[in-house]
Amino acid sequence: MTALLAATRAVHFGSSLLVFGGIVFALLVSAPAWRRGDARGFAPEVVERRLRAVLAWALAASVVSALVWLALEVPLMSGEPLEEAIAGPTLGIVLRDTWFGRVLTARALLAAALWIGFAAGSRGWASRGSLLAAGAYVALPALAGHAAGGRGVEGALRVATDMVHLLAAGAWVGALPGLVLALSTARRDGAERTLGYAGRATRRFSTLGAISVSALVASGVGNSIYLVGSWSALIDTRYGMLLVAKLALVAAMLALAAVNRTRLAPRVGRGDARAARSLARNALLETAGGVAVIAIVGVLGITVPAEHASHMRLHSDTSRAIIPHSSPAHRHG
Amino acid sequence: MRRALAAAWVALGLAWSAHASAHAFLDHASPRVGSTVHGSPADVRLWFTEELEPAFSTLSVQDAAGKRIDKGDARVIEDTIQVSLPTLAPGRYTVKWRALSVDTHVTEGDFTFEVAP
Repeated sequence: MTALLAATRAVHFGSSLLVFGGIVFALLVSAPAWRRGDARGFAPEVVERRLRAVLAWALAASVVSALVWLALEVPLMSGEPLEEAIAGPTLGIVLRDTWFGRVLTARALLAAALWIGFAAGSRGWASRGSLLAAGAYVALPALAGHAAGGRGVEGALRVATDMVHLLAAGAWVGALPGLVLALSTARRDGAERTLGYAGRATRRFSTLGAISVSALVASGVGNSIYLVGSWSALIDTRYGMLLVAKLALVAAMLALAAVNRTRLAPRVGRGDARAARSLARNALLETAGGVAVIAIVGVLGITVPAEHASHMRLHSDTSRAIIPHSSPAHRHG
Repeated sequence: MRRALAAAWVALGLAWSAHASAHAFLDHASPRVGSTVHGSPADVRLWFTEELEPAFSTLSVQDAAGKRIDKGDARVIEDTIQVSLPTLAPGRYTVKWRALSVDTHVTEGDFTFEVAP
């Protein structure tokens, strides 16, 4: 059950990040990289058309996985079987009276708006409006995630930090597939002006990536303060060590990005098709790095945060506490 | 290329599978866990590490025979849950709680306290 829940959330978050990142790429990276006067059928149009198709599928996957997630969560949260929960008032209570349900309902409306945008036209799907809607779509889960549940100013700050983290992840890792698409299209096309577009897009992506990664790291540190709690916990706990591994991977990805984009991007812009191929491959490598980072995040997600590990130890003697439906490692007392 | 990307994205999701999940653990209680109180307490109150969802968090108190004796008016206020008690006879009582945190995770547990004359 835990594995199914994890897989469902996996598909959901992966596809949600892709929807947002794809719009970011189309609007902020690809479109400005066009040159005025470029003819129809020009590679950027092809790239954006393909991207729109990918994003439509991603949005569909995101919605379907959200429904599965809801179906799995309702029995877990309420303790009632799904059939009873749907027949009675419980489903409504979940949707109305829990943060999880409210966030899901709001995001369903955003998904509908995004879908209309995707379906409406080949031109308007990547707009400021859709960027806003997709940003809200990606950021709202912070209200029902680990950062939620705090109180007052501190609680609001935790949620805000987590929202920045989600948006930054979307703008960087979520936009990488767009870059891969642009570079591979340019490489196959091979024309000088296409490679010029690809070079400019890569440069813009680098700038955007630098901002996103800075925000990602800063907000990640902010999140960690609440979840790790102390420097010693970084070494003492499993959670802490996983976090250190994650950070090391991110550093490696950044090194890869820096080296390749300062070396390869200018060559692509000057019409070097082979550089475009190398750059495409490296962007894919970066995506793989991102996947590995998120894999660690996945394990982090089912590991009791270091800050709370002490609570489990403290209360196992005097108070028998169990966590239903989680791994056996968490049961005690 | 396209298929590799798709696989990467599913895997990426698999990883994002649950950005850290903090459960609501019992922080402290009144009467204190395992304690002996002199005189009958007016209520049982539990403090948690996270904010709770009122809709699905529960609290009840049983006597030594397993019979429920609280007033059934359990209410959640942010990160606490409390229930009122009638006048209790001396003896051991068991508090049973189920907490749903705002981030959808359920914890449950129980502890005892003694009422001394």
